[in-house]
Amino acid sequence: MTAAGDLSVDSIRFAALDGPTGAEGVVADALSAALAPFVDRVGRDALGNVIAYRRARIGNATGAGLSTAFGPDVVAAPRLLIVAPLDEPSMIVARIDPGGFLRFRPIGPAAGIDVRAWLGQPVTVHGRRPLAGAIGTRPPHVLELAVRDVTPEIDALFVDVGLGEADVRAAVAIGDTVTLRRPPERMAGGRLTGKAAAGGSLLAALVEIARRLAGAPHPCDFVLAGTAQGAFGHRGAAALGGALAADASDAARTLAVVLGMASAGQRGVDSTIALGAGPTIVRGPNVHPRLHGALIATAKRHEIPYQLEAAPGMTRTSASVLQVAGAGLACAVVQVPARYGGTAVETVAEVDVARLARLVAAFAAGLDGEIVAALQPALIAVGSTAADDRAAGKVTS
Amino acid sequence: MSGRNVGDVEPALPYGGDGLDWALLAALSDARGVSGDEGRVRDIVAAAVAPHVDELWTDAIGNLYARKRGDRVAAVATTDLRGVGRPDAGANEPGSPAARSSEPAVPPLMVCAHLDEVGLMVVDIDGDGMARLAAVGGVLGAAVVGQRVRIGADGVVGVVGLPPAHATTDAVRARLPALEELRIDLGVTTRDAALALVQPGDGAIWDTATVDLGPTLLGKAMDDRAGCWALAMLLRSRYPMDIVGVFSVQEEAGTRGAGPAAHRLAPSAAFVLECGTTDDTPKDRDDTPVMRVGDGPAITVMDSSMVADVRLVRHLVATAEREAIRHQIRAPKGGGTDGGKIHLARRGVPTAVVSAPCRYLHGPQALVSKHDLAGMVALVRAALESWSPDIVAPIPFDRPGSPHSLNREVAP
Amino acid sequence: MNPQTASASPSTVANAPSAPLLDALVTFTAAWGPSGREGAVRDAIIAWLAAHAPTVDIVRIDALGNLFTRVGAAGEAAAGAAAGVPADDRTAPGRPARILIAAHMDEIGVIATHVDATGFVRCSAVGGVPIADLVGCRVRFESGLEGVIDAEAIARKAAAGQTATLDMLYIDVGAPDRAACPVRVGDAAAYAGGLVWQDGGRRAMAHNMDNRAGCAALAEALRRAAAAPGAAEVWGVFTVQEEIGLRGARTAGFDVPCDVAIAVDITGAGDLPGAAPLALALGGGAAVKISDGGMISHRGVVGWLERLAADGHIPVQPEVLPGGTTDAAALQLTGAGVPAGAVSIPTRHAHRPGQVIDLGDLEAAAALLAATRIGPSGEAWYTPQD
Repeated sequence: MTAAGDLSVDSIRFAALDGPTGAEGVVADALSAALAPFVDRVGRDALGNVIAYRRARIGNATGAGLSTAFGPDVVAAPRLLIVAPLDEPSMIVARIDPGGFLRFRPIGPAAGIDVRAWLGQPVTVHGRRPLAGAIGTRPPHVLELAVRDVTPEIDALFVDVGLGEADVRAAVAIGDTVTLRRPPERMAGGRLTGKAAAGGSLLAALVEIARRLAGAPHPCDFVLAGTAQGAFGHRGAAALGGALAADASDAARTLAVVLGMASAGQRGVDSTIALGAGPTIVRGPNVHPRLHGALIATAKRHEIPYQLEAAPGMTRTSASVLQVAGAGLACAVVQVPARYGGTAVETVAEVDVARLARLVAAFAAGLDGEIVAALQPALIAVGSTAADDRAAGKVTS
Repeated sequence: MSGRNVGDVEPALPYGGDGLDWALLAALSDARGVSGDEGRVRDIVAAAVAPHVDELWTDAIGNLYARKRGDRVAAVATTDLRGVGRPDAGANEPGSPAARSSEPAVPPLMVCAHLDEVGLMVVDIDGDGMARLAAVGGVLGAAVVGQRVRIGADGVVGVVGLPPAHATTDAVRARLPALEELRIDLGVTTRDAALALVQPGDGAIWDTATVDLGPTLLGKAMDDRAGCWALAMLLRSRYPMDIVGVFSVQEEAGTRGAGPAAHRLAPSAAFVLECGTTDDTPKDRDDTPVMRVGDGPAITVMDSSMVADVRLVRHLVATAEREAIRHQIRAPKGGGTDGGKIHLARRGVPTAVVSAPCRYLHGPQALVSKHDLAGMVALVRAALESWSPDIVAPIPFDRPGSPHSLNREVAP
Repeated sequence: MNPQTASASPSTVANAPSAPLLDALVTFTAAWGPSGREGAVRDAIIAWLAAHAPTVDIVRIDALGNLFTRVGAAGEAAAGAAAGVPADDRTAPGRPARILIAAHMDEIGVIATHVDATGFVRCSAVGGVPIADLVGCRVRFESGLEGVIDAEAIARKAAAGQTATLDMLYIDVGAPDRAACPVRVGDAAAYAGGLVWQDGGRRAMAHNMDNRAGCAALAEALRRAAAAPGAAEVWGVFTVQEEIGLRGARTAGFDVPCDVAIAVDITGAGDLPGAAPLALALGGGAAVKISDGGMISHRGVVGWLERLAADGHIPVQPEVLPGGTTDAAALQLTGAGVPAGAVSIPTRHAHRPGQVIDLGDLEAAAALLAATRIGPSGEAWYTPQD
C-alpha cells in the first residue's frame, strides 16, 4: 500500500503489470485492491470489469440533503461514472510450429494493428508460467534488398522463447496471450515511458481520484471502473453501460467521465497537443457540451493547465459505446497526452497525469445542481390546439 | 436510365398538399446543425411542434421527443417515458432488481427523423490563422473546395479556397483534394486572431440558403430536415394510438441517437422518415437508380443496416394503393438509417423506413420534389391512421403434434 | 452414379452421428434461407422438432423472426413452467442455471437491386459473400429459379489485378428481357448446391454448412437434453440475420436473461494448402472457441466446456480464429454482460458454394452442447455479480 498521494509510484506499479485484452485479471486485482480503502464495495462482472461503488455522503448522513445540494426537483442522487481501461495491446498464440516457434494473431480485429510495433520486441508469453521471449527480426545479411524496407505480414512473424519444442508445448497452449516486455522507466523531462505508461498512469489517476473523493463529503454517488477489453471494441465498457443505462431513470441521473490517451504532436502526427501542457478536454459529438463546459470551468477555477482537443467523430475511448448504451449516457472525455501510444515506448509526462487526477476530482467534488439539472430530460412547454381536438371529436386529456 | 425529370410531373400537389408549410422546411434546411451540435435545429422543431403535441422533452444525448396521445386508446396510466423523478434507492448497482428495465404500460408507435446534417469541424488552427478541418459524417473534399462556410454558434464566415484556374496545371486540376489538405480562410493572419473567432470543435457547414424552384426545392440539409419537416406535419394530426415523434441526433456520425431513444421508449413499431440518395441522373450503365425523384416516397425492403419488417412494408404498400399515392420501392443497395439501431433495441422493434428521394445528397445543393414530400406525409399519415396492433402480432406457428399448417402469409 | 452417394452412407460408419442428427443435416441444408428470409429454415426446424423431439417446448417467434425453444431442468413442474418470457432475474435464489445456445438459421446470398432492359439482374450482397470470387457461381431464388453470376468483361479487364466489385456483376436467369424476367427488385438468392457425402460417409459437403450444420447440432442437442434433462434449463434459440451483423442474437439475448450464452456455428480450418496459420483441422473434434475477430470467450466458460468434453470423452480442439465472429459476440454484451463462449464445427471453404465438414466433428459438437445441460453449478466463475 503506497503512501497517500503517491501517484507517481502507482503509475509505475500499474504500468509494470501485464493486462492482455480479455485476460486482465492481474491488473484488475491490483486496481480492486487499490480502490478498496476508498469505496463502499468493489466487484467484478461477467466481462472482467472492475466496478467500485461509493454512495453519496452529505455531511455525515448517506444520501440525505439532495434537494439542498441539487435543487427541489432532484429526487435521486446523481451518479458519476469515472472509467479507465485495464488492458494493453496484446497478441494471442494461434499455433505452435515445429521447433517451438509460436505463431500469433492480434486479439480482436487485425485492422489497425501496426506490425512494426511488435517487430524485434521483447515479449512475455503468458503460458502455464510467464515466459520471456522475443519476436525476431531477420538481419540484413539474409534479406533481399527489395524486401528490407517492407513490413512483414503478421503471419510471417513468430515468438521465440528459446526452449525446445517439447518444453514449449508443455508450457504454452493455443489461446495464451502475449504482451510487450518493457516495464516503465523514468526519463528526462519528467516523462514516464514503457509499454503501458499511459494506461498504467490512468489507472493510478483513477485511484488518486478515489483517494481525493473519499476525503470530503460529496452529494453524488460514484462508480469508478476499470474496463476490460478496451482494445477490442470496448466490450467491457459496453456491458457496463448496458447495466448502468438499462433503465431510463438510472441513465438520466448518470454522467460519465472517461479517461483516455490523446496523441500529442510527434513525428508522423501533426497536432498542437503537447506533453506537459496539461490534460486534454475533448469537444465533439461524443461529449455532452455541458460537461465539456463544466470541465473547462473547473480547470480555470482551480488553475489547472489544460488543452482543447476536437474530435469530429467518435473518440477512441469507451465513451463511444457508453454514450449510446441502453437509454444513453452523458459523457465527457479527459485524456493524458502521450507519444508513441500503443507501442513499447509509449511516453507521458507525469505532471499531466497529476493534473488530470486533480481536474477530474475537482469536477466530481464540485458537481452541482446546475450541471445535474442540465442533464435531466428537459420538459418543454406544450399545448394541443383546439382544432386538432375538434377534428378528432376527442375530449382533451 | 431516367427518361423523365421532375418538371414532367403534374405541378399541382395531390393528397391535400396545400396545407403543407414549405417555409418551415426552408428554415429547417437553412439552420446549422452538424452532428453533435443540433441545438439550433432542435429549437426550431420544438417551437414548430409545441402547439400540437401533449408532451415534449429532450434526453442526455440531445434527442427531442414529442408525444401525441391517441384518441381511441383508453386512457390508462402510462409510465413516465421521460424517466425522471423515480427515486430508486439501491438502483445503483447493475444486476440489482431495481435496475432491470420496466417498460411503458402502453407501447407507443415511434416515428423518427434525424436533426443533424453532415458537415465539418474545425480541429485546429495553424500559425497563419488558417483553420484545419475534418468531416463530420460522410463528406468528401469534392463538396468542400471553393465553398463558403459558416462556423460555430455565431455563423462566422469562412471560405475554403481554390486557386484561380490560370495558376494551376492540368495535373493539379485533375485531382480532388482530401479534406486533410484543405484549410478554412477566416480572413485573419494569426492563430490568436483566429481563436478569437472560432474554437477547435466548432461545427462548420455550407452557407446555402434554400431556394424554392416551384416543383422542387434546393437546399443544403434536405437530409434529413425533409424528414423532420414531414414528422412535424404529421404531428399536427391525431391518431388512434399514442405516437412519439423522435427527432434524433448524430445519425450521420454513426446512427447514435436513435438507439437509446428506442431503448427508452420500447415502441411497438417504428417508422423512420429519411431523405434518401438517388442515382437517377444520366449514367452510362443500365443499373438501378436506387430511387427516383418524382416517383413518390420510397419504401425500404432492405438496406445495409436493416431488413425492414415485411408486415410494415405490406401495410405501407396496401395503404399507398388504397389512397392512390404514387410510391416506389427503394432498391436494396447500400445506405443505412436510424432504423438500423431502432429495430435491434431491447427485444426487437418492427421497423420500416420511408424516404423522400433526393439528388446530390451530402453536398451543398441537394434537390427534393414537393410532390414526393407531400406523398410521404400523406402515406405515413394514412398508415398511422389505419394502424392496428394486429399488424405486428407475433408470428404464429404450430405446436408440435398438431396438424401442420404454418401460416406462410405472415412469415418473413 | 455419383461415387460420393454410393453405399457408404454415414450410418454405416463407426462412431457416426445419430440418425436424427443426419436427418437434421439433410433437411436443414435443403431449406432455402438467406439473411432476412429465414422462414423456410425455421419451418424445417419446427417440423424436425415435432417429428424427433416433441417434448422440446417451442416457445415463440419474436419480432425479427428468431425461434425460441426450451428444455426445462430436471424435476421442474411440467405445467406452469415458463412458457413465455423469463420473468425472474438471474439472482433469484434456488433457480436452476439457464443456458442459452444460439444457432443462426440464415445463409449468405445476394439480393436483386435492378432488372435491366435485357433481363439481367443486378444485385447487392447479403452478408459476407466473397464478391471477387462470385463469378461463375450458381445461385437459387426462393421459387427455385436458378441463375449464374458473371461480370462485365470490359470492366473486368480494366480492373485486372484489382478485386471485382459488385457494380460489375450480374445474374443471368435466362430471361430474354425485363418483362419476361421473373425476378423482382428485392428478391434474394443463395448459393445453389445441395448436400453430398464424402470419404465413405465420414465427411459431407453442402453450400450452407454455415450454419445449417450448427442448427443441426443444436436441434440434436435439444433432443438429447429433452430425453434426459439435467440440472440446467436450456434455451435453444435459432437466430436470424447473423450474417448481416448478428442482428437476431442482439434482440434474442435481451429477451432471455441467462447465466451462460453459447453460440454454435462453423469455424475455419487450417488443414488446407497454403492456409494461414490456424490450428484447426477436420476430424480434430468440436472446436471450443477461445477468441475470434469479434469476441474473447469467457475463460471460465472455455474451461467448463473443456471439462465437459473430457468427462464425456468428446473430442475437442482449441480455436483461435483471426477473422469472423458468431452470435456469441452479441450475446456476450446483452444487459450487464453475460459469460459467453462458442462451440464450432471446423469447416473448409466457408462462404463458398461447397463447404466441407467432418461428421465426427458434427457429432462431437452436438454431444458437447447436449452436455451443457448438466449446468455450470460448482464452477468457481459461475456466481452472480460479485
